[in-house]
Amino acid sequence: MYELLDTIVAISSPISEKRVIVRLSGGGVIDALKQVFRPEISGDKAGIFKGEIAVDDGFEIEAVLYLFLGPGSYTGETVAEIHTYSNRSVTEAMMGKFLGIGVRLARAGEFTARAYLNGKIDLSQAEAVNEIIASSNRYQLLAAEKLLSGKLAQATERVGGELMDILSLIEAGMDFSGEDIEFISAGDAVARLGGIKVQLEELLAGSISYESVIDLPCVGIAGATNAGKSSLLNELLGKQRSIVSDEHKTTRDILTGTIDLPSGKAVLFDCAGLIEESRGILDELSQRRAIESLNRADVVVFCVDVSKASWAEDLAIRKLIKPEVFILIATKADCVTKEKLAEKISSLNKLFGADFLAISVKENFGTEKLRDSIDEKILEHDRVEGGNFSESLGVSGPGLTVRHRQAVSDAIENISESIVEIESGNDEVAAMMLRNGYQSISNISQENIDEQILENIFGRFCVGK
Amino acid sequence: MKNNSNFDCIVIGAGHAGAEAAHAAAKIGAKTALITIDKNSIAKMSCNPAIGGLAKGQIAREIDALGGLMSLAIDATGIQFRILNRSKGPAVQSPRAQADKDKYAKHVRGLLEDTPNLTIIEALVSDIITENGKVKAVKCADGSMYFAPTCIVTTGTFLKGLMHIGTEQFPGGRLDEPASNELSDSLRSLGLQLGRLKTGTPPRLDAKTVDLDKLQVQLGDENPKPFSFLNDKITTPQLPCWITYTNEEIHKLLRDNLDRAPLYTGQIKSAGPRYCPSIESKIVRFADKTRHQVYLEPEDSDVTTIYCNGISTSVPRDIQRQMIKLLPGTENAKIIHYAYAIEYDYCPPAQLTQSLETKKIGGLFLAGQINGTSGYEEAAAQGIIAGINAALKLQSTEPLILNRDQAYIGVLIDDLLTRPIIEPYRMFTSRAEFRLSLRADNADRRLTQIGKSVGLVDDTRWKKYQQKLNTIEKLKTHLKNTRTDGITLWDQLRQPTSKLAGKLTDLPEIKTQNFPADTIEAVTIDAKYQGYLKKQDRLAAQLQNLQKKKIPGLLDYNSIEHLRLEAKEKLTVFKPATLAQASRIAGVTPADITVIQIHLKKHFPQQGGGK
Repeated sequence: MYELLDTIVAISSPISEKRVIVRLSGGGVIDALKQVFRPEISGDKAGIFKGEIAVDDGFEIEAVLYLFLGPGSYTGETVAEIHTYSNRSVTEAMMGKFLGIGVRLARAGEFTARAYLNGKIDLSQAEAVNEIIASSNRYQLLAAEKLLSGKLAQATERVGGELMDILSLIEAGMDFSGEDIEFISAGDAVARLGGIKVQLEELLAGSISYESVIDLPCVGIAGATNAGKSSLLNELLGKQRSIVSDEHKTTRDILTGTIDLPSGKAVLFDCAGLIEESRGILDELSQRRAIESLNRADVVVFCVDVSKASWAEDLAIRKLIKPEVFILIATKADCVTKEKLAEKISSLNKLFGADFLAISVKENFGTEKLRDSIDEKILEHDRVEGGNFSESLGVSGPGLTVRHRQAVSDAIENISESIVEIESGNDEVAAMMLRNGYQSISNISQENIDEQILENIFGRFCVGK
Repeated sequence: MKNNSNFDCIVIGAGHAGAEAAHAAAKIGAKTALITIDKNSIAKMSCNPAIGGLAKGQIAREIDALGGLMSLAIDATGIQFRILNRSKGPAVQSPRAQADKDKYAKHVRGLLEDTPNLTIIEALVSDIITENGKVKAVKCADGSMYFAPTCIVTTGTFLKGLMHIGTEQFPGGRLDEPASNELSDSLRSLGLQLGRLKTGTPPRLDAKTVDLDKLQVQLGDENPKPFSFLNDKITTPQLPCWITYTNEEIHKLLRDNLDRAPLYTGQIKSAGPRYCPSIESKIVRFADKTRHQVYLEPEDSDVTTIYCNGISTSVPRDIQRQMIKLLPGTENAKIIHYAYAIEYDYCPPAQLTQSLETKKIGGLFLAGQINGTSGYEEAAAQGIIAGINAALKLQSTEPLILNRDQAYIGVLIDDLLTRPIIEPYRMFTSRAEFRLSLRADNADRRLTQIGKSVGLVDDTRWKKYQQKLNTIEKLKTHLKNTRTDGITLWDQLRQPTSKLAGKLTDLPEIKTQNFPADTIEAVTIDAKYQGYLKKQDRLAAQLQNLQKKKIPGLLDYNSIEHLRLEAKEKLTVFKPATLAQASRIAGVTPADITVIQIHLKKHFPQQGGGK
């Protein structure tokens, strides 16, 4: 059970790491910040503030504050994130100050619980976030993302509507039998219910379950800041949104989505632009995180702005990462003339010791070639290392959690039973089953969900999200 | 009439709600006054001369099980009994009976006159006097005053009743009866909010002038089944009803004269019932239908007048005459009463508690059409509950609140308290999610015990009920212990396509033991539904859990920070008594319920946060 009136705080990243993110949410966030953050912020404007954590006189530590105001924030309340060095005594002193003015430690999943309770996300979405947090595997990310896209909600809404329609007709047949109208014949009801049942069975069969899903390859996009990574990412992802929603407009988190390639699916991610030399601890922390992710990727697409005069920085950055497979691309090819481009590509090839692919997102050339190239590299990688890349191709259904599968199965069972009852003339019994079936389906999003389910869901979150 | 003007309970209005209310309160022990404008109008059937029907039949039997009057009266005066939905499952079968409407009214009046503690007074109440937010007295137009700490208002369509026949408009509560205008103002001045609803009634014909012989006949059941548990058989002579149909000529007539139908000219602004549309609404909304069914129902055992069920209307008299002329069978019929529409004040029932007492005024109860309902059964159901609760309040006893899984009456009152009234509320079986267990056949087993505990069920009924329970147990034991082909008779009955159902009386050992028909019926239905009821029970358990969680009346929803605006607004209007109620209010999401629950746990830990 969650106390919604308190201001809550959590340390968002493991304390053993070198950086620490402290997240707060609630009405008392600004007051809490006044205790520790300098310069003092007024709280009437959201944004990114550079400053210091001052927990004791004469002891200050560099920090960046991300301030989000309700109701537009993730939780719908005032939210603050303090990014700073990990220093046990500073962190403890800071938390001490917060707790001292009545801020309390967040419970597992409480930030997301608030987002749900404040109507910021629906239950399917909350569960999807839960899966992201809980999953260490990339493929779970895929299923989770599909849930977020609302595909499941769409499918069940449609089926729920049809079910409600048939139920209403059957009910009408019982409550208005004095009229000389046949609302629905037993035959029609059975046929339509059969249709719904097939749809639900297909939903189950086509869905990606966490148990059976394949390990998708992972493609990272790297490069200096302003190397055109974001537009490339958007181009490759099409209209899909990255998992970390629009509410997080910063790129301090790794943004991810799935792409369709000729032979299968892959997870694509973008991270903070790489820089040659870190200018502060925060820069360094985000660099480290980006580099780690890129080094784990199956394929890294490395972007270089072809229009630049010097690529010394890019070369230095290139050397920071050591992934298994590289694809080098020259972005913003539309910014130079054709003759110049050939010349520049050749210089790049020489400088980096590998071939570059010229790309212009603006003029839409090179991206198809890049897809093919990524596809090829993954297939090659799979041949050597083994993988299920090509088996992912036909999979397009929504991801279902255990609870969702249960709900859909329940609905199928109820519909099957109701068909038998309609055939034996027991409309009143059939109606009860159809009500149950409808209830199961509508349980997937917001309707009629009891607190026990909520607690189960939110109890599974790790603290801080 | 007694001279003493001090009472425990005053019931204003003696329709179907008022009659049950006054009887219940008096029988439980409250010294009760029933004030009516006209004694001859007690329990008058102002519209359809029938009791029961789908879902309503179940309500009538529930009222009977609690110890009410309605079923006794219809059994004594019914002229055609029918079980509706016979081709469907027993849970949606309902008894219905045509009444001799005058005899029905007289019978109820007789029962009331025989009720100890009850005084019937003829007067027009003009004002309800309160003191410190509690009922003190009622004042009548003739200047007389009657004092009582509780008052039940059951004024039906009388509050500022405005009748419409074509463009004619005139005040009235019913045909030829005055409206009650001052009382409406009195309720308003007490701080109650009033709204406006519309209903209507069809023309009545002189039966002698109707050519009944050429019409299709609809007969009642061969073995009419009584409504009341106390009656074993119906002894009144049974009559047929007749069926005719409207035609294109009538439809054209009405279409051509829509500009004279107040429903379409804007003269009537209030919402009427969608389930009981006027004939002009039917032809407008279902323009492709070439005919509509009309039941011609006798209003008395001598067949003097005919009720035209299906053509309620507000069109002018000349159009009504032409319509009747065009209707097969009534070409030469004389109209005794013209059809009319009526608009009246009602009190949106969100202002009531579950006991039907107003939240604003202590001791003031409202029941029947004043709460936005429609139908004699719905009215009577509220009447008996208000009567019981007024009497219990006088004894400082907890009120009787029936839950949704106990009775249609529970569904009715819960719906009134959690849903906005968009039209006169009528009961349907589909409103009851526990329909399989809220049946006409088991109303006695659901509610007799409750009727006994509040003091309405007398010894005769209780004894008979105990006997029935015993024979049911005896029969069940026999069925469970007797096997044919290795399967118990009970299990055979439970099969969906059981050949045994309906044939139990053919078994020699059942025949010799002479089990009563209602026992055999009850057992057969119990067996049929036993398996299904388990599913329903889980739902009931969830409901009961939320029902236990009470919401304090003083809760200020606007102070709950995380509640969505829409939820705050809706909850402030309905002020639900429990989380179960709150969860049923449209616009309140499960997330809102969690927020409230959290708030309650924090601020009212003793109130129901706990499990």
